[in-house]
Amino acid sequence: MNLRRFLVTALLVVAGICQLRADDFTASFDQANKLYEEGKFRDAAVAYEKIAVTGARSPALLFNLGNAYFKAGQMGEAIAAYRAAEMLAPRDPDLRANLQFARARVSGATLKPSWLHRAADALTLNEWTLLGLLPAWAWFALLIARQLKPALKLKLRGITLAAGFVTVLGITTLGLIASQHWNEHTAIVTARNTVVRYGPLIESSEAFTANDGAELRVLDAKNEWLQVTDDAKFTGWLRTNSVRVLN
Amino acid sequence: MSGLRRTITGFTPGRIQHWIRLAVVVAALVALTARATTFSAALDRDTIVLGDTATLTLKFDDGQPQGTPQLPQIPGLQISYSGPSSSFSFVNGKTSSSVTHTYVVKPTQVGDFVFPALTLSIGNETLKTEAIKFKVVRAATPTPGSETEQQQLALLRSVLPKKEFYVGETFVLELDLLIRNGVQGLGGTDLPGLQSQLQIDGCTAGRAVEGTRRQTTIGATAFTVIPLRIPVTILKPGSLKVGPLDGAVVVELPGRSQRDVFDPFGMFNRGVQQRVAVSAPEVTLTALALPETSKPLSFSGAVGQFKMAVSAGPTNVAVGDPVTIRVQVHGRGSLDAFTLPEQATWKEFKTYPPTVKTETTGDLGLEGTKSFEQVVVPQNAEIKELPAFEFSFFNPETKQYETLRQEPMPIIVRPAGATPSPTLALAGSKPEENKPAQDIVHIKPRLGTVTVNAAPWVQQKWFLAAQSLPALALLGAFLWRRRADTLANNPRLRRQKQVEQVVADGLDELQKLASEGQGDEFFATVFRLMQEQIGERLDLPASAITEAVVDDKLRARGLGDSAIDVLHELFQMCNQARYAPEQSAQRLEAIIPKLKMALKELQEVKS
Repeated sequence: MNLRRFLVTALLVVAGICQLRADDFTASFDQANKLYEEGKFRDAAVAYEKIAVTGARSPALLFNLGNAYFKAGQMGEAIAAYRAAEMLAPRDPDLRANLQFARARVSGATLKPSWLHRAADALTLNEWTLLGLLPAWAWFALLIARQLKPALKLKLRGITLAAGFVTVLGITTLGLIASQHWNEHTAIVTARNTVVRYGPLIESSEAFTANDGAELRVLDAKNEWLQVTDDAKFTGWLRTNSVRVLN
Repeated sequence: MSGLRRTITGFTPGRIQHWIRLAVVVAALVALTARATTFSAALDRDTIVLGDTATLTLKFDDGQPQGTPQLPQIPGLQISYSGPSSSFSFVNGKTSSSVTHTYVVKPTQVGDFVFPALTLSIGNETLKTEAIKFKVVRAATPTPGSETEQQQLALLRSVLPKKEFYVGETFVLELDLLIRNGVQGLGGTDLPGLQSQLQIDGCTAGRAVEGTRRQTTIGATAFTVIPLRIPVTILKPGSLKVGPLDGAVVVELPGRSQRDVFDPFGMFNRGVQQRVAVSAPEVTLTALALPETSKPLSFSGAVGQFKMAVSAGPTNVAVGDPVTIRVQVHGRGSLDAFTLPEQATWKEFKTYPPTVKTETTGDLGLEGTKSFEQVVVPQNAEIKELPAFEFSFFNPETKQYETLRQEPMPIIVRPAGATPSPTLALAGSKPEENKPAQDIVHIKPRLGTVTVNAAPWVQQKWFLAAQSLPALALLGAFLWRRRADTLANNPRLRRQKQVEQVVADGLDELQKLASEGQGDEFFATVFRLMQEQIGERLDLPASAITEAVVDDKLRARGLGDSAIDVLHELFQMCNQARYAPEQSAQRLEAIIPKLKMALKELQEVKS
């Protein structure tokens, strides 16, 4: 009885702390929104970033951060924020519209997402995880049912085979998506007219110029340099301080 | 005494001469170190042709500074350090040394320059050079077609397709480097540096591309033309000046004119290298503003010559379903300069910002296709067609606006389902929604659900551990199935398990009956448990078990005497209880351990 009372009290305390924290975030968020509405876009971006650096993440926070950067003329930072928000709410129509709008303003070398990347970006990694593992759980449930009720074996044979096939498909897809999530990194150029060089040295000759907002795939890293490509015809090295890298 | 003599006799004439020579050398070295240090600066010429370079030397005699002397920044000059050189000489007993630091001076503009006096401290001395005056002049541009021009080793010309352009128009500025035939260019061309000079106010210049080389003739002299093509876009009206442009090219003049018997093929005849400064004069062009009077509503900044293709799909939709309009604009002009024009006739559609894809062809990127994909959403079922689509551009050739038009396309719009779309519910509150979006969607007022740096599930241990549950459950079900099958196929084992359960339940019941003092039920249960356990061991029906079986069969199976005695005792207690029921709880509870012991020993009897 004492233990139960202790657990309830502890839960209430934790919930209270979380609520206080959420209220704190909401107040800061409202203050940042006010700066945005007043046209102080850079100040608003700084205010949104202050919330984000605490580790707090919400699609609305990152969306508004992207808007503030967009209005402040920082296209790369805006696209980076929209892309981060897209990882949390990939099907938000407002977010997709703004990301498209920002991308349309970026010229020059930039990544053109393949259909595979577009499909992968349609769901969050957690949603892909559920989608990939639910068939596996269903398949195990069928196998367990066959053990508990052998009379059902014949009836469940077809659906068990189908569930097994879907499980393999789901796990494979999840593996590909997770592999892409962990291994493929995108660098978003945040500086104007960033010079991309043939080698990771300031003395290396210029390969091409990437515009603010260009999205490039990271191939390699060396010291303060990243090797990037647009997957079309441009490949080169640029400094890490001129990009934001998305995981 | 003899030792002293040896010492005195050691000062022989040869020894004395040796010491004198040594003293002279030491005196010379002392004199050398004591010599005054001098410092001078010199430029190898008084006049530098723009595009060419000169050499500046700083010479230190009999001394040198610590480190490389740092030179001041002079606007209009690029100065780079080449390296040091040193020399040491000993002439007629006089020793001298000198260190020379060499710099390459490259002017970037014409004019009179003064290289200021330099002051340096070496040891305790402060040294100062004289200021150097020099001129930077532009390479003489000979009159086109003149004899002077024909005699030039290399020439630079800027070529414009015409003199009048419109704002937004893109043209190709060609810089032609002409190298006289018989003279070989060595790749030391500084033409790319010319592009940095193309800072034309009111224009943007693209990346320069070297074109195909060709031959041309000036008078009777043949030249090879190396064209450098630069796309230029006019940004504002007015008079715009291009140039003057200055560069340099390294050429190789023919060497020996006659064949060498040892080099009949001229393989080792390398000739003489020479750096030639070239210059192209200033060119003025006129940029005209686009006419405002006849500007169509669907003009969105396109200047050039274009064609348009429009398609839409799907064309059978419900209200609220998206329809994608694909517009491809193909042609010549600055593709980056225009957007998809607003369509005034698309009021019955909600429109979203279009996606844009630009594909250029050719090295200069002046031609290509700009593709727009715009999603529109029909707002009511009355719509029968996608309205006409118009795109206008200004054609600099005809000097007038031209409009491309896609006629209306039929479309079927079905009523939406029972649930009206939120857009329809809000329709009317924002009439500007019917226009193509020209700005981002506004910020969100609510923070929503906040997560704090939560890693994806697949990276969390609890989630990975949870994935083992179905496998463990399957393993459990499998083992359970195996046990059930084993029992089903082995009646004796099944009975053994059943009896174990009956005995366990019966012992619990005995405890309860004993505490309640129910003697009849207690002994009936004791009797039943003994029958069940003995029957299971002997594979006989429980009802067939009597006290007589104990001696007849159990002893033969190896049951111990003590257990047999206890069994007899228990059987007799049960029989007696039928006639004289025992009511004492203590007596009844005392029987239970005996029964447990007897049953345990029975379970160890071979079946």
